[in-house]
Amino acid sequence: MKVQLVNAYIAGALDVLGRETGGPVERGAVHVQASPHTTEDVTAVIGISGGAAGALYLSMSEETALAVVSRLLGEPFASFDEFAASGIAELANVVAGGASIALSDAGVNSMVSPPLLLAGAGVSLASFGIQRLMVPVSTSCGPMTIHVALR
Amino acid sequence: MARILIVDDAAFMRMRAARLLSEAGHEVLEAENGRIAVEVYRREHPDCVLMDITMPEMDGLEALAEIRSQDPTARIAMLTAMGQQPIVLDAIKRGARDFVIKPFQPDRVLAAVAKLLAA
Repeated sequence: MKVQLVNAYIAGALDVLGRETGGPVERGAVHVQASPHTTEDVTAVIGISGGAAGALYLSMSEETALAVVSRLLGEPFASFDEFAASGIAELANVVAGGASIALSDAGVNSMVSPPLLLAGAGVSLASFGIQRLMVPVSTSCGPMTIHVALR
Repeated sequence: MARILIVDDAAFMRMRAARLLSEAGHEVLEAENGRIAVEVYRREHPDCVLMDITMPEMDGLEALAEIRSQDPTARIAMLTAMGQQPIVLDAIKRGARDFVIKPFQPDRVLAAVAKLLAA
């Protein structure tokens, strides 16, 4: 995928992430990863199809995940239960949606699938031949990483 | 007060919307996918519907068309992360009266409900 389209996609994702986490989002250095991703505590996965195809992963510690869902619902979450998982899955859905809108504005239409959530660190997640960009971000709820594997 | 059906596969999202609408004085019904939404609409005839698009079993665009075929006066707004222009146009063509793009913004959701109820 062309660099400007990837940049538009990531910018769309970061814009939504900032609105949902309620503060500025600082982007770290982007890395290209060839090896499979080894998950953190919580990873939401969104499949993408159409003019751009692949996946977006949103990966974070349980501490960050709890801070995010506590902020979104306006009440503290003490444990990462099924309901909190639904909140992180929805966050990934909205982030992928925002990124897809940015991509659409750049002329490439894509669809997102319902999110999947992996709870538990250390799972290997491969994108099989699709180059994966790893974008570390710092949010007001804590650090997380956006992974973009698109062709 | 109105009876509003919220359709979203994310329990978290339904809770956020239900809390907002209940605090605004509305009665809230919930469905977790399009197929259930069609059943609930047929049974309960809510005053309006807020519908996600990307859902398992039956997506929001299919459910929109199905509900509008049952009740051509159904007042439905899409509440979704999928805001690409072709999807917006498709939803409007199928009878959606408003299109609210997530992330969830309480004022925008309440405005959409007010618009639906005034229609």
